[in-house]
Amino acid sequence: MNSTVTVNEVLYPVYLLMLGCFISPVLGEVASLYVSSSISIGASILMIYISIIAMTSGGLGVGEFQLLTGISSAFSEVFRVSSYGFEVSVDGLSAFFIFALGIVSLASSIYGISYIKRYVGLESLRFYSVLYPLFLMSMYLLIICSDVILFIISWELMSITAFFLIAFEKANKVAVKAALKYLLMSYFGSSLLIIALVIISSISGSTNFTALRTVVFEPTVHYLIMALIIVGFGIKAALVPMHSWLPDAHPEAPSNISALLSGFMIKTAVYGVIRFTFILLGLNHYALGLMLSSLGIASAIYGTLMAIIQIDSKKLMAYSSIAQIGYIFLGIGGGLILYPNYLGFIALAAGLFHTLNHAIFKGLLFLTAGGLIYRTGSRDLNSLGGLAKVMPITYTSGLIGSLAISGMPPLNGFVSKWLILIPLLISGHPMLVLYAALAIFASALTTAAFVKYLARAFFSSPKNVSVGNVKEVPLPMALAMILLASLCVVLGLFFYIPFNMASSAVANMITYSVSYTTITLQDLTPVLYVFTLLTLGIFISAFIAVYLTASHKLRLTPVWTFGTKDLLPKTLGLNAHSYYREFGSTYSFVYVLRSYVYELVVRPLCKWSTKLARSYYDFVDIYLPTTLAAIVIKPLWRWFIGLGRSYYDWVETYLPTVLAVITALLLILIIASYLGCVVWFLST
Amino acid sequence: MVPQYLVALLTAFLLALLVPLLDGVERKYVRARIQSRVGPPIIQTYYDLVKLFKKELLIPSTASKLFILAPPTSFFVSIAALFILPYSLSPSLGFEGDIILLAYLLVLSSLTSLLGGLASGNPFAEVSSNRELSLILASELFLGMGLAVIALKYGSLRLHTVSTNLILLPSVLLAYLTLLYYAFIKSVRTPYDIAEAEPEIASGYMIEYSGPLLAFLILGNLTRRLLVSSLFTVITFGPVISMATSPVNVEVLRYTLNAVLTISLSIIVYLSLGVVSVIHGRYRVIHALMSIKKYTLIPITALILAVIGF
Repeated sequence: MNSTVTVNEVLYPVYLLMLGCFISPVLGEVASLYVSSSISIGASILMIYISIIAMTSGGLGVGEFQLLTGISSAFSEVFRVSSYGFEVSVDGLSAFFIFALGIVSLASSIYGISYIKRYVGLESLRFYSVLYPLFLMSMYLLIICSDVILFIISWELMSITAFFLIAFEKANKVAVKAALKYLLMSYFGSSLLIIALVIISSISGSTNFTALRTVVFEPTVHYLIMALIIVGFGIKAALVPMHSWLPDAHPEAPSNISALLSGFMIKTAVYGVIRFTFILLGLNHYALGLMLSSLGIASAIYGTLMAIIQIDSKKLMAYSSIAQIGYIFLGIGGGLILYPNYLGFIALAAGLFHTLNHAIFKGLLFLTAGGLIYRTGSRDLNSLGGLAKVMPITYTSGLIGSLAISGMPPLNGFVSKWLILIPLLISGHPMLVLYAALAIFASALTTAAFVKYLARAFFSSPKNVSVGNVKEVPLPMALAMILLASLCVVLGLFFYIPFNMASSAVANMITYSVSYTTITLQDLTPVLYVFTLLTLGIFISAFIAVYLTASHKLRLTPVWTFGTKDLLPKTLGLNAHSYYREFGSTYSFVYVLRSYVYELVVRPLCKWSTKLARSYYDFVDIYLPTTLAAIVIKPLWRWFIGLGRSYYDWVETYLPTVLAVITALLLILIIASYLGCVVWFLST
Repeated sequence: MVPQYLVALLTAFLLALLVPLLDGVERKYVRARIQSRVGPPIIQTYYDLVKLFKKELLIPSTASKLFILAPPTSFFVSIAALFILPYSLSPSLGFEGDIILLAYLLVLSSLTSLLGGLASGNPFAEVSSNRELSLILASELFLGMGLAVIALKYGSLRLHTVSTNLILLPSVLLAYLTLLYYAFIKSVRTPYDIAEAEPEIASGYMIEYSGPLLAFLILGNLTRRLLVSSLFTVITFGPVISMATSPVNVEVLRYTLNAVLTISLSIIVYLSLGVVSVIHGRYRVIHALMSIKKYTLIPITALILAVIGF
């Protein structure tokens, strides 16, 4: 197939975003926001276009990123590795991730036009306008690069721009603190990653991805690299023992940034794991699969259990992001464990498909939460409520997003979760079967969490926020939400298109044998029938609803609460704290377990590390100076002081004395000569 | 191919229309008999529904459009679930993993009606949805484990495969028991109808519904009740039925016979669950969850047995 995009044109979005980054500082506050947003929108559309072309033509070849060639050649000079310049290429996997990035960044950029204007006069919009394109560019570059150095550069650029964007509300102490926590953890992760990548490229003698494919490692090095890569990427993906930055950082960022962080930034870790372990290094599939799927299911359960008890809408979504990343890694890990079996192929492709889906619906949900913040200024589920009638677009998008993330057919979330679950369940691998059973439970927990969000934000009567003068969000924000919400529906109904995209991306990198198969993609046609039936059912219901409202005598009544008009509705009903309280107390052991882990592991660790830090501080600040002082500085000081004292003595005592003596001598001399003159005069 | 889909769809609609009769039978011959009452005529539920359809539409002023859309949607989702269920035990309808799709459709159906209730803005609906979701949480863990055992032993989660192969192992039997209990929880009858609980929260999510919308809601609930009993029946008795009818050579005849047998067994299961329900009082919320938690030992045992080879 003849593609209309050459590989150097793949870099056009990068140049475009760089342009946005350079133009913004010289423009006015609001003008810079408009310019950088429109440039980002253009770049996002280009990304989607490039990814579609790349997917239909089976990937684009290798090109060179010339802007950084200087760095590349300098690096190869210094480290004596052969360099071909910083190469970029787009294969099936990259194209799939670019597609997800393009969609989320498109929605987030459109949304930002209105949303960021909230901060006029509070924060510097120019700062945002510079960082935002840079953030997009770093993620795009990360996906298209095929060179270890360029990968590290874009990874670090992404981390640091994300830090500044999380801490965008500088006045908000919580945000700055969360951003610092993110930065610390992120840098710990990237340092491990850099160690791993340096080991890899020093063994292979090249930093180029194509050269890495042929590398063979010794077993110890092999496992070392695997551990480093899992922890390094695991921190960015917020897999469970390494997740703690995410629930703090994601809620504090501006909402369209949260959408990008949860929608795409944490997926770059998924990309990294797949890229480095499957395609490049061929690390031990079984062990890696065990690790990834175990971390995945732990994240899925923990994230959802924590999500249902949150009272902050964005925090709820952040915990749910941990859970969904867990789902993705469960699929990928399962795919690795079942390696030669075709079932593994389906799990792996479904994991990728879920990556795309989660980017879309989690982006959407963060945007709806942002809409609520934009209009009411609150993200506290206790004080929100009753917004369904005044914000119909936000509400409908929130409803679709919530149903999609809960995995309700016929929306996109169902298909990917379902395709992850089936291969694991029927694989006959006892551990995977257990994990899949727990994943069904996690899915129910997700439903519960998002029903809580819907109920408290849109349906139930407001507790503190007055709904009276709340309006629908402005057009750009509404457009962004409509875009993502319709994608949730379209990708669900026509699921075979994105699933085929994902499976062709998988097929390029790892070969599964079809002979083991018990299910094929042709088997999925009956699902389409069921989906059609469901869609038809919803349409008929809509008709019935229209018919009923048109034909029947409609009577509006106040909500009935046993005639207790005055109590209504502030005192009746539940607040966000009381949701699932009975469930929590019945299954309290899971929460108790968490507090035990906290008490027995996290807190001692914290204490220990604080102690360590303090002793380090003490060492540097007290012991080291005293020791140095005792051995070196004190004698020196003494000598110096002695010197000073002698100088002082000289100046203070000797000098006046000498001067006095000299003066006295002079005086005596003068007097004597005077006397002599007098005597001589008298004598003659 | 296509006629079979049509037959399945037609069966689903017919069953949905016949459920009120089944409910009438339960009310007259199960509940009234056990409670020593005369009871209503067996077509009483039809009378109720017809009357409801004729009534005017009362809509709370705080309600959004979802309030009107939800009840019919909930009903049609249960129809779609009935459509998947292979009463005739024929292979052509199913696909790998249709049990999970069915479970999700069950949740979707009850979730839709809950969301409709929530959309009314009534605080009692909120309390009710909270209770129902807690039940869903507890019972999905239950179901997940049960399905895991079946998947381990059959190597498939296709309803046709599961319902035509007989595997007599302790773990599978325990999984059947799990499914029966799941059907009981999901049938929203007395011990587990904490989300409706008329004396406490005035029907919960249904509190604001009246007229035709209430009729759709009732139809949806009854269809779901039949659906869960049928799911249990097809999985548990399917193998026996298909063995019994295997001598019949004419395919159409065999499938019809299968369908008749599964449907009648489903009705028996439906009514027996009704009997169990009548002799129980309603649980308190915490007790309902505690009981499910306690019974989760069944699927856990089953899973352990399945893994070690029994």
